[in-house]
Amino acid sequence: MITFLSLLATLLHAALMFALAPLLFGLVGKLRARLLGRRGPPVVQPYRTLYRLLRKTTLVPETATEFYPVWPFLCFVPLGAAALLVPGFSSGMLSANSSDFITLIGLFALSRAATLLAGLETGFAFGGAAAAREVLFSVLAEAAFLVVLLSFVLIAHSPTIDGIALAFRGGHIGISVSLGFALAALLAVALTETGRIPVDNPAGHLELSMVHEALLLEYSGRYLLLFEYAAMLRLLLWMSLIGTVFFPFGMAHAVDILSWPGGLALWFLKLGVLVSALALFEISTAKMRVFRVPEFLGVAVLLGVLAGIFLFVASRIGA
Amino acid sequence: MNLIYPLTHLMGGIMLVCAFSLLSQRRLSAMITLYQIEALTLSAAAFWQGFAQHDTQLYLTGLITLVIKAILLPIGLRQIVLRFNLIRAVETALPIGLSMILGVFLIGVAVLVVLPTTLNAISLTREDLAISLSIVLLGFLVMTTRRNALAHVIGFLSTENGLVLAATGMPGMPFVAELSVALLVLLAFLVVGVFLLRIREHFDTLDLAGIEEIERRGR
Amino acid sequence: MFGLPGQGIHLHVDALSALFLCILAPQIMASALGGMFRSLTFWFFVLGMVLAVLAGDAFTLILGFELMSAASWLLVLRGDEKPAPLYAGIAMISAACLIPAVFLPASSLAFLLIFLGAGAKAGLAPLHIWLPRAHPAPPAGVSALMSGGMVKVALYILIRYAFVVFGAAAQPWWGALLIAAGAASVLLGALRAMLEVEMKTLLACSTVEHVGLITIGLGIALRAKAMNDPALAALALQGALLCAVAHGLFKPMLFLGAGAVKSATGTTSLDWLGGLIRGMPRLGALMLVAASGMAALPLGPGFAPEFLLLHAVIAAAATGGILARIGFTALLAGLGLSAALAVGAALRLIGIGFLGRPRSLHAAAAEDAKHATLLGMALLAVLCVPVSLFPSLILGFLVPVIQQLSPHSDPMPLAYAPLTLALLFLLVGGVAFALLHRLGVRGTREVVAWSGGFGRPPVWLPFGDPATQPSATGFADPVRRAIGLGLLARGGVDPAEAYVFAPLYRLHLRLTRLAEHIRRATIRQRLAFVFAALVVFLLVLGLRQGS
Repeated sequence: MITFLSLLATLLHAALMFALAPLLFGLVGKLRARLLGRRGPPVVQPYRTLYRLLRKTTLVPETATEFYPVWPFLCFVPLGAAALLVPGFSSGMLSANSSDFITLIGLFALSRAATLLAGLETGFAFGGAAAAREVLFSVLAEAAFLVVLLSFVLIAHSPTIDGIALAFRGGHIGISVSLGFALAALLAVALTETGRIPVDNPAGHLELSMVHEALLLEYSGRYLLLFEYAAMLRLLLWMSLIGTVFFPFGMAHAVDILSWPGGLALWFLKLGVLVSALALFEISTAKMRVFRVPEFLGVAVLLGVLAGIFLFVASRIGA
Repeated sequence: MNLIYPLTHLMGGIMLVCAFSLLSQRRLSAMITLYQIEALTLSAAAFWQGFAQHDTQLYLTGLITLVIKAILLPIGLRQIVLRFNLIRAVETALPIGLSMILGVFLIGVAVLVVLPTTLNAISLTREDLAISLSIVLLGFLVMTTRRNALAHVIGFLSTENGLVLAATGMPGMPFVAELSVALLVLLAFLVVGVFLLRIREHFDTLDLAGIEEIERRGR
Repeated sequence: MFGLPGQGIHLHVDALSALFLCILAPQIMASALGGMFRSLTFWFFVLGMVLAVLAGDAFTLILGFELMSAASWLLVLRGDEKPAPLYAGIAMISAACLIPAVFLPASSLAFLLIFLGAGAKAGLAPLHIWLPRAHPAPPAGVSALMSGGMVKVALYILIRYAFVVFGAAAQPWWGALLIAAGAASVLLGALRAMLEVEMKTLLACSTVEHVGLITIGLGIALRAKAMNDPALAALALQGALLCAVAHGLFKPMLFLGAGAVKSATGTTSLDWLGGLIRGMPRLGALMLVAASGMAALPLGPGFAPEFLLLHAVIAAAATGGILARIGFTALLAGLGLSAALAVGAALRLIGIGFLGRPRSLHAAAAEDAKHATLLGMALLAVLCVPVSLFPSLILGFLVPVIQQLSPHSDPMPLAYAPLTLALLFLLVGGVAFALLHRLGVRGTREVVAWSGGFGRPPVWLPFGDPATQPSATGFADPVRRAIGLGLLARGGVDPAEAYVFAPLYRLHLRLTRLAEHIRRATIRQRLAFVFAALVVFLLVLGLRQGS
């Protein structure tokens, strides 16, 4: 019975993750437009875009190699797997034990690697330039991500996302300075990984300044659909991750079906808050120059280190 | 009682993040905004400590901080930025990345200094003292890594914030806090005044090159 | 017959040497298949390695080690004469450190000598600068064995002495020393692997990185063992040994592949390659497998060791004083940085070398490698499968080794479950594929690449203008500007070269000049030297008796 309930929770979670990802994207776009005083596209626009891509013929450049169709799948599949690992509305899902944080970092890296190879695939200038930049960003983002992870694991005594969420929900941790630093660092990493505004402009149209979009210039039709959908899923994943780790209040237990509605409502609320925060942040800052981004991420790495240092200060250790 | 420690911590943490971010900023207006947030947090911390320690003098400290540091000084600084057209990025003496790594190193030093001396104190004071000392050192670092006099002023003000934070956190030290506030106001206006005067003396076109020219003459 | 008079050669197999023999065996087979089986020097090289690993006494160990060094020097000399003197010099330094060390009693001095000797041979920073020069020089089979095997033999000696022979005298700072050297190697190796243009040099730099990773694991284990923390020691040893196993599989593959590229196109410079996967599809697929190991991506052979090592560093950050903890935090940041750099380097190798358009006619006309080479690589690739998908199985085989190195430790099961992950991948991928196939418009149409609207290249440029394609140098440029300028010395030189070797070289010059002065002294001056020496000697004697 208990296993059945966690299976049910996992399935519900997976269905919601995969179904809601485009909606979240649409919400951010709509809210951003509204805040700028424009009417903006309808909230369901991403669904329409995906459907349109599905019905289009897929064009393959002459210079593409045999691996051209592999990369879209290799980009999407790790994120799809990660979507099953990151808890959303409930903890204690079937995948709870394998949701190790380092595995998650690896899955993100795999997806990113596939996207970069897609950019290098046809051998045209924009894809290559964007890939070079993306490598630089990923180097610092990964360092920041790992250092932040150190504080989580040492506070929660558990390396899995599920365990960290459980420990943080316990409440005996309180508000710690370390976690504040960690949140700031993780937000910077999230903005970089999802290609949002201070690092990259998702709505940009100038090839020279694009990073994530320029990698996909040579893709069309259903392959482009996979990349686009992966980007939407990535945003939802990061929001769920931040919500789960930093605001674990009111998460449901998979084995307790009565707690599900409350958990679901709170999950939607958290996502709503994060979406509004993202939209607000995006309209209030401008995109950085490429070589300012390493500084931005360098701050994130150092904040992560500081989170660790203050963690050690708080626990009573001698020099 | 439960909330006192975490909230104090949180405010100290926000102030430290502000002080640290000061290092990474190139534009004066962004530095002023960060300083303003820092001062606001400081006044909130002072109010909170006043509430927690039932001490009216701390309320006074908070009020002074709020009015002077979080409202009046930033307005004044912004006026200067506007009037002398310092909107563009200012040059730093050290590369940003290096100065940030130095900043983390200084925080480490602060932690190492505070740790052995406070091994017997409760962990709250340890963290708070470490944060205050870090903010002070970071302020000095800002002063040494910038070529711009206004940035020096901001670094100095940030240092002062760190001192006041330490004073509010310690029970039984409220007078120091007010004293330092008064001292701060005096010094800051002195520095800004001198800065204004010297610029007015030397130049008609008031831009970055002018400030650096002053520096060169000063050396 | 051989060996010390009256003693002979003692061979001895225990769990540790068996493990390293297992690491060596597939590489030797692959390298022999890769075209080296006719070379007598190669077999002497192999004999030296096997002898060093199987040695039951110090003399045999040194004999094997020196045989390995001498044979590999000959092989390097045959490939390229330039790095050979440097290689010989480093080999002599490591011999000069190892030979006294193995006959010393267990002490910190002996450990330091072993660390210097074995570290120099393994390519630990700051004595790593010979490695990116010497490893690419010989033919591919030898490069493969040098990178995958020879550094492992050096690490074997380090493990053998630090954990087993000197085990009782171990101090925590021995581990800290290993961690520091390892961290420097990881950072420098990963960064240089990202920046180098020659494929084989790039791979050699990546070897420096992996040696650093293994050493970090060993260092954490040694420190934990000295501090009586067997659980952490076991975790770190799991990571280090699994990393040695995985690196011994994918790195020889990459070197053999680079050799095949060289024989097909005449160059290994990434700036002249591109699009190789069209002409060499089988080699390209094998290289893709190996590169996933080098990049430590999930479901590749390199991820499980990286996973274990990162967990070991995190666990180690919860032990010791605050300085050590801050150090481990910084180490974790460095490891994250270099892990992503390693991904970048592997992407660059595949993306610039094998994908995209050809950058020269040679690259366009490349044909697939010889069957024997492909067979050797395929052998290693097949062995990669259990390391990638069933790392728990391999870790089960490692248990006796870990218990030999760190008694009383009981290794934990691995928390990373690649099989579950693979099933999830299949599930998600299958559903996505089925949905796209079912609902989407099927089939594809071949068109001219969009390329920002530039359109079709002229007829006389069949692959477009190669200059419009990002080069390997250009691809690495953002990293070089943002990180390389900070970590490398002026002019992009390795800091070990600029700050360790250049001053040493200057010191050497100065000493030579001094010696030259002495050599040119007149008879009277020489008499004065002897006289002065006599006076000093008498003085010392008198003072000692006086006190």
